[in-house]
Amino acid sequence: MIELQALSRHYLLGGEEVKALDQFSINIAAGDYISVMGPSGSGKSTLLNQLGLLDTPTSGSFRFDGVETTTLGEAERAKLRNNQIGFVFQAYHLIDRLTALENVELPLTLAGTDPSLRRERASELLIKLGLERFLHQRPQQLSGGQRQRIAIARAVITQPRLLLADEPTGNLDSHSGASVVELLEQLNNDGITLVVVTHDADLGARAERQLLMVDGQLSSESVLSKGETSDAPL
Amino acid sequence: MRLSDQLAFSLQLFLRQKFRTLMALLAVSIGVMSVLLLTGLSEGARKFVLQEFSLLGKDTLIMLPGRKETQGGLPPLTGESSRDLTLEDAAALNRLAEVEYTVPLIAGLSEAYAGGLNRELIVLGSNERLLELRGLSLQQGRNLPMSSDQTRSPVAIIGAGVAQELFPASSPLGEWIRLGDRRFRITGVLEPSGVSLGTDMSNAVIIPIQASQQLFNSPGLFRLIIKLYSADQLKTVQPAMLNLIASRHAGEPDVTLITQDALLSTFNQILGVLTAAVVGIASISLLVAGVLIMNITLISVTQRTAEIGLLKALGAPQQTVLGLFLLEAGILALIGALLGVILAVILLTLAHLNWPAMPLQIPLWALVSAVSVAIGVALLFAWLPARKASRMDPVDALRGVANAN
Repeated sequence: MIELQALSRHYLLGGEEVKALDQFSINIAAGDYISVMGPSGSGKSTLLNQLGLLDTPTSGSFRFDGVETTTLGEAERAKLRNNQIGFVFQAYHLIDRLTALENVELPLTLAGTDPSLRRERASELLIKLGLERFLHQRPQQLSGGQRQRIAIARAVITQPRLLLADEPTGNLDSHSGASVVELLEQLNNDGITLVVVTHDADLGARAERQLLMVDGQLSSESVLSKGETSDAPL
Repeated sequence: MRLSDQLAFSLQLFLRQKFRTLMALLAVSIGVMSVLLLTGLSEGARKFVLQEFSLLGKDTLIMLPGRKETQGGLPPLTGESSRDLTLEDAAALNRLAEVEYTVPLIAGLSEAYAGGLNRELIVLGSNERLLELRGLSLQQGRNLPMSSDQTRSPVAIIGAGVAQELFPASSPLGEWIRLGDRRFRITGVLEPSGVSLGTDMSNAVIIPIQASQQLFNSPGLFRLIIKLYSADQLKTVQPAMLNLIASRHAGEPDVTLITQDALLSTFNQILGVLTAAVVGIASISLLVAGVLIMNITLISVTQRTAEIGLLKALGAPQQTVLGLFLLEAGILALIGALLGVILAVILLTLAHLNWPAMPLQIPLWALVSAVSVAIGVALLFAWLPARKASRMDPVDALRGVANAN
C-alpha cells in the first residue's frame, strides 16, 4: 500500500543542515501494525508527518496505493489526507467549542458530506465504540482517555486505510492508555493499517513490525506475529 | 466544505468569543452609521437648499447690481464701482416683450413698534407680484396695492409670526406698525409658510418698494427678479436685457444675471463637494473598523493555530481555511453594517421628527456603498491574516499549539 524510497527531509537550523529523515525506505502493506520508536530527534515524528502527507520531502519517493504523492498539489494531498489517512495526536486536538459528535463529524464536514448522513455515521461510530454517552458533551467535560477515544473516532470516521498515531497514550494514565491501545488494535484487527510513534517501549512492543530509528534512518526492524504482540504489557 | 457548515462554524466561534465579536460589530456599525448619518444630513441639507431655490421657477431670472459679484475671480485691483439697479431700470426691462413682470427687492432690518411692543424684523420692499412669485398666500387682508399707487400707500403685509407677537390678542388688520421713523397700516397677514429663499417669511414685513427706498435711504435695488412669459426665452432674452442695461448705464452692462438652473447647479456643486468631503471624513471610521477586523482576524489566527493545523491534517485545503477566515470577517462586517444602517435610520428618523422641514433620508447610493465598502474593507484587511492561516504549515501549526499547551 505504501512505498517509501530513499525519502529524505532536510532543513536548516541555525545555518546547519539537519537530516531529520535520511534516505528512508520502507514498504507498508495494508493491515500492518507498525510501531516507530527511537530517541528524541531520531526522526520518528518527521516520518509520521511524511506518511500523513503533512510535510513534503526534500527528495525521494512516496507512493500511496501506487500514486506518487510527492508530485501532488496541495489540494490533492489534502483530499488524500481527508479520505485515506486518519490522525491521532498526543494532545487530542479536539475543538473545544464543538460537541464530541461535531468533532467526530469534522472530517466529513470538511469533505462536504450531507449533514444528516454525516451525523448518522458519526453517531453510529460513537455507539459502536461505546462512546454514545458523550455524543453531546464538549471536550472539556471529558477525561483524557475519553477525549482520545473521541479523537480516534474522528480519525476513522472517513474509513481511512491508514491510521497514524503520534504518542497516543503520552498524556494518559495507564488505565486510560490501555483502553486507547485496545481501541487502536481493534481498528487494526478490522483491517486499518496502523502506525504508532511512541517512546513507550511496552506500547511499541505490541506492534507486529517494530521500527527503531536513529538519526533519521532506520536502525533496525523487528517483525513479530500477532500472537506475540498481545502478550506485551500495556 | 458546504457554505452552511462554514457559516455554522463561524457562528459557533462568535458565540464563544462574544466580547471580541461585539467589539468588531461595534466598530463596523459605528463606521457605517457615521457615514450614513453624515450623508443623510448633507443630502438633506442639499435637497432642502435646492428645494428652497427651485421655488423661483425655470422662467425666472434674478438681476443683481454689479458685474463681478457672482462671477468668481479676484476683484479688480483698480476698484470698479457699479451703478445702482433702479426702479427705472426695472420699468425699462418690464417693457421688453418677453418679460411678464418684474419684482424689485430691497431687504433690510428695522426696529418695529406696534401696540406698545417692539422687536427687530426683516423688512422686504417689493411690489404686489412678490407673493405670486414666491408662492406665498395671505391668511387675512389684501395684497400690496398696484405699483402705480404705491407711493401714496404706506401699507404693510406682515408675517404670521409677527402678527402673533405684536398683536397677540387682536387682529392686526387696519392697525399701524412703525418701522424706523415711518408708520404703515397693516393690510394683510401672510399664511405661515416657513423659510423661503433663506428668509423666514413668518418674521418679515413686506412694504411697497418706494417706501423701503425711503426707509433705508437707498435708491438702488438689492435684487430684481424678472419673470418671463416662457422659460424657452430664458437664453435669448439675456443679451437683450444686458444691452438694455448697458444703454441705461453709460454703455456698461454692470449687472449679473442668474438663472435658477445656474443657481441650482452652483449650489448643487458646492453641496456635492461638501457631501463628498463629509463622507470622505466619515469613511476614515470605516477604515479604522477594517484595521480592527484585521487585528481581530490576526489574533484569531494566532490563537487558533492548532485548529488550523488540525483542519489541514483532517483534509482542509488552503482555500477552505482562507474561506473560513474571510467568511468570519465578512459576516462580522455584514452584521455590523446592518446594525449601522438600523442605527442611522433610527437617528435620522428622530432628527426628522424634530426638524420636519429637512428632508432627512439616506440616499440609496450611500446605503449600498457604505455597506459594500464596510464588507470590502473587512475582507481586504482580513485577507492578509487569512492568507497567512491558509498557508500555515500543518506540522508547525500543530506543534505550535503543543508548545503553547
